[in-house]
Amino acid sequence: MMKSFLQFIQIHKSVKQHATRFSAVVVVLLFGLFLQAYMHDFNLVYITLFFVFSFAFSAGPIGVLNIGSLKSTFLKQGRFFAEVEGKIPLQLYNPSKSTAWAIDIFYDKDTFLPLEKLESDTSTILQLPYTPNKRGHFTYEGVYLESKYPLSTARLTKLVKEIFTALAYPQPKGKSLNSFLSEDESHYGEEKEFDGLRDYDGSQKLSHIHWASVAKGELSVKTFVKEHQTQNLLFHFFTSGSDDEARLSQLCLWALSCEKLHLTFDIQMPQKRLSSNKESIDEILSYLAKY
Amino acid sequence: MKFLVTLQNTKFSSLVLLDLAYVVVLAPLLLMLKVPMLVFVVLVVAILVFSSKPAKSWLIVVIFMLGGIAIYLSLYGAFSFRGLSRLKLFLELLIYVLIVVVSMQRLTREINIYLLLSPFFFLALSLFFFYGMLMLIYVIFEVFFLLWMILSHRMQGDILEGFRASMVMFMYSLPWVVVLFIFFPRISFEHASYGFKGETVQRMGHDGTMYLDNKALLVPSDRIVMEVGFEKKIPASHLLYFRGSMLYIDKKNHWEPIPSFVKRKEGLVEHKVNNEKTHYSVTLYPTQKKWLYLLDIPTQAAKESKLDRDLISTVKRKIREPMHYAAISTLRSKFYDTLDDYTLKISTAVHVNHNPKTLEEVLKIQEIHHTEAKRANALVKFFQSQSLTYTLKPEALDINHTTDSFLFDTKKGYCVHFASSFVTMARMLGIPARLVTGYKGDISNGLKNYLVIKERDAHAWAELYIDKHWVRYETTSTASHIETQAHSNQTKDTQNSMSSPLMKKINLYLMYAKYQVETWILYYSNIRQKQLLGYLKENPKFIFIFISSFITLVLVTLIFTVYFKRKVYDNKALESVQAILKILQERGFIRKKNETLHQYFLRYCEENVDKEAGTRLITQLDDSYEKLVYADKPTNLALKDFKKLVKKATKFKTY
Amino acid sequence: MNYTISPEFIPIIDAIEVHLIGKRETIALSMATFFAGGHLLLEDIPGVGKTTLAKYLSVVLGLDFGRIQFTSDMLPSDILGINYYNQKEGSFVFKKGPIFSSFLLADEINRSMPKTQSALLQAMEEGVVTIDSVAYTLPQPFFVIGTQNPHEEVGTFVLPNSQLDRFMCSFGIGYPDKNSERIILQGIKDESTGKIKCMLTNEEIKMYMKKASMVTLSDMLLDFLQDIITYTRESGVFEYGLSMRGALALVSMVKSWAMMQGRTYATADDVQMVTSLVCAHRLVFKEGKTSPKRIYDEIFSTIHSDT
Repeated sequence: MMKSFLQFIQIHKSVKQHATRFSAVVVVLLFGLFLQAYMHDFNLVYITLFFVFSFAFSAGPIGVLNIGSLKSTFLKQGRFFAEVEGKIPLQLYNPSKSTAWAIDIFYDKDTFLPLEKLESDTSTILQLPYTPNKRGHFTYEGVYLESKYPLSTARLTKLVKEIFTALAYPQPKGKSLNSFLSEDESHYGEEKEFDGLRDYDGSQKLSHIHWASVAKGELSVKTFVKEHQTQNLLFHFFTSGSDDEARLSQLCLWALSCEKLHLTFDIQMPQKRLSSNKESIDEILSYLAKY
Repeated sequence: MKFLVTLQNTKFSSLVLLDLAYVVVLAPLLLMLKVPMLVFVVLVVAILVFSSKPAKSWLIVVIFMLGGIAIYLSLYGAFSFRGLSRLKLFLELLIYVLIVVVSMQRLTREINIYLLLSPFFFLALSLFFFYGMLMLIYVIFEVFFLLWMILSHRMQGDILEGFRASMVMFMYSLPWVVVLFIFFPRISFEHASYGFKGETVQRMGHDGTMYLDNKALLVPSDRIVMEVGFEKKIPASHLLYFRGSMLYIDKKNHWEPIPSFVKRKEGLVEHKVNNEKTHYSVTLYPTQKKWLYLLDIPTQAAKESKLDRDLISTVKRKIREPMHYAAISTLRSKFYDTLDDYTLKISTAVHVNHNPKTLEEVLKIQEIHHTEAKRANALVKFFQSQSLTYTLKPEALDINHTTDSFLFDTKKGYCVHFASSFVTMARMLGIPARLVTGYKGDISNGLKNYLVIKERDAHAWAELYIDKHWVRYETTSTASHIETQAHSNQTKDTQNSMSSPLMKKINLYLMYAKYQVETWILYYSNIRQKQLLGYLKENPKFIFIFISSFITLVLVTLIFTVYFKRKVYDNKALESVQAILKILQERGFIRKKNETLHQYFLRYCEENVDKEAGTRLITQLDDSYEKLVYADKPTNLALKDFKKLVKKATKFKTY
Repeated sequence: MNYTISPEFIPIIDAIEVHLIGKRETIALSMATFFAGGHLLLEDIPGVGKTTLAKYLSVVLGLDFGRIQFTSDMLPSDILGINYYNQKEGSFVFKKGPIFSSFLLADEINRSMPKTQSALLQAMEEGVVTIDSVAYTLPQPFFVIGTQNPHEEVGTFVLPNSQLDRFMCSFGIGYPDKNSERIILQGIKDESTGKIKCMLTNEEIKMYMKKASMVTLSDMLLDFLQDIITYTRESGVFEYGLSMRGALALVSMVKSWAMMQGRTYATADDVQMVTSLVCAHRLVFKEGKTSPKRIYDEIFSTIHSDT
């Protein structure tokens, strides 16, 4: 009993209460009913008055318990890229015995994600959108939970105290891996069999243009199925772009494309040679981010 | 059950929830709406039912105009600016305007804050117009319903979950409401003069004139005239005389009171303080008369009423609505009074020649007895010797010689005949006398401290002025026979409904409960509050009862709270198996997060190989549980067996 | 994992285990996939017994065994068959490819070109092969065990996920545990037990398949399944959620696994057992490597069954 009371005190401390327009409504309603009771002196009015009063009174603790017992933690997962919207995973867990209702998760001042309900002893993961503005470490805070449960007479907020820190990788952009590969066709794969036609986008070899389609008025190129000899791809830092940021972005894009295609690659950095055989993709990207 | 399942799966939109709230709060108000307004409401509802699109602006303008017309027609004639000073009319207008405005907003199908708040306004306004037991129940229901709708809205229209949550909240609030209600200081205690229209049935009260002839039509019905709550137990039967009107003037076929234009000197009515005072409160139902009925002898006037020199209390207007008053009396059969000349004259006036036979008897008594007291006793004895019969169906008396006719010819009559003859004869003997009408309480209509006075309890008796005291004479007690046959015949129709004594008893208990609710809730006032606190101060036992009943209330609400807060399981087997899980968890055998029950039970069996009986039980439980939860259509019988098994397992001690 | 295989299947598993020591679970799951009417993708490094499993399973089930060793120069016609001109008869004659067998081992499918792969997968899906606008029905039952080397292997074509969807289950065989390995290394092999023969008739197979499809899924279990399916789609952890075909595969596999344990109803344990197998080749983590273990942990650390 004592323990649960202390627990409640603790929960209560973590929750801030703010007035809403409905708090004013309750006050006006109470005052009006009081006047009516004074003038009219019907006990029904008194009873209604006391009910309204008690509801408003008990709404406080019920609301506090509803939101206050929720536990929130940021999960360390997900990649972030500069100027690309990433998702910060926030795990909410409801350890209490009753369902938590109508919670809004506010991030970025006025924008929020609504959470209809969170049943007891369950957790949910919310993806909070966030766009880091440059590569490197960033911190993310100021997320808070808000609920008007149960009667909208008070706005209860609970700050997520934890500060989320993560590393934003360089924004992946530049030439596609395909065009990099097509620069030296024979080196990175052997054309095996005619596979089909594809629209010409300017990056393909002239010799691959399907002239028959040109005659029909379309501009297509022939594509061939390639068997990749598992030769290592090697990207050079200095040749990959005009300035450092562009180069990092370019390398980042290629690294991600290679990961997707399950290709191994090396990156020749000024001081270091990064190899996907030795380091994980995340380690390589971190190196690029911190460069 | 099927209905509940569909309910579980339907989510109500905010608009539907709001509509439900409006239906509930508007229901009582519909009873008081005037016809044009009702037509308007029906029209709006019809539009809402048949069109699911937001109304166009022209329609809203039309509705606005129709609303204006409806208001005008409803209040036509009653309305003037001076009329607005009458609160009731003003409130009526307010309700009409609110209805029109709400209808306009509702037709747009957009919810704004005013639409959200109006149900509360309607609720508050309806409290001006309705009162009584039914409304008390309805208001509590309304309050709960509005809470339910708000919470359901918060829960995205899940009304079952909303019901659970609102029940919890309601139960949290109930003890607070009770405490506030009891202890909140009441600032005003004058009821406004309007309220429920009351029962339109006219209660046949006791008439100011008393007829002795065929007009003396008695309607001894079971209709309730008064409900009396004594502070303590109901006093003895012979003390329950409720004073109504006082009659002095004999007009041959009827008796009349002293005309109101006669100015009488105020008497020196003495109230002996050493007599025990009896406190009681009365609910008087509409009698269409001005009398308040107080127990003999009243010590002070009840509220709003005047106590005249004959201790008769009257109010200015006829009583058309139920009236509540508290009163104090000392229960005596005589009281001191000094008579002015007029009163003395009028209370001794008698037409000696009208009743020659009676005069003979009077002369006989006068010869033998010389003091007033002795003559009065002789008078009683004479009445007793006449072998008079009390009956509710007497034969017609000779109008010109009523006393002779009653005492020597027919010898049959009821209270009126007894009392009037007694008074006439007393006056002939030179003793000032008068007739009192009112009610005499019947103790069989009482329960604990609660007494019901019915119409058939109407009574008349005589008061004789002896030794500067008015003394009450129960004249009907001189009757030698009582004709009960007639009595039961008269009341046959009313007794049909409660022919058995058990039914009567139940009925009395119900009335008692209703009366208690009315006195302690609906008419709870600062007087009651003081009374209660006074009791509390003086009576340690009462404090104990008070506190323990409050604790009981809190416990009951807690039980409700726990019941409605409990986790709900879709599956009955899953629900009943929780008991075992709780026991195992308490024994320190914690279920892992992603463990299924089967895995949990298996792990238990593996880890507790030594506890053979326990593992056997758990394995058995696991098997039947699995079949219940997963297999195709488990029978009710299997569920029953499973519950038995769980019960057995919970009783098992050595896990 | 807790399960008890129904006694009727024990002799079959015993018989295969002689050749694949310590892999009872793998054998049982392969059979469950077969009874569920799906195809199986074995994904592991060479030399752990993928081919052995397939070979003996086919014998036990009494199905005619076909095998295709995929190579990079393979053409669709090498699998499906070809219409050739018979000069003697002066007409085109259809020569059936290896796909026209009830039990097909498609060894190292990721070695061939995507075109060839898709020819196989399409046939698996539809049970019909169309060559030169003539439809040829494949035998029933038709069961394919595809084997695949992990992607890092030299000279492979990655199978797109949409293609892999046609396989109901995917798992590896893995190295044997210490004890089993010792037995293998000791080389003790009883010749008499080594002989393996058909143990199920065609009727029995059909009966078991029907039984598997008749397994009851209670409402509670369907809730649990739906929670899982929704989670794969909405958690944001995976590139794509489970497709409808994937969800159906999960249900069939759950039913079949319940049947393998001699039950007429499926439980949450069955779901936990098979989910990662059904999802392993269907779900891809947005970041980092995908493995059945990781999928299992990801899903079941969040989605719990109350039952």
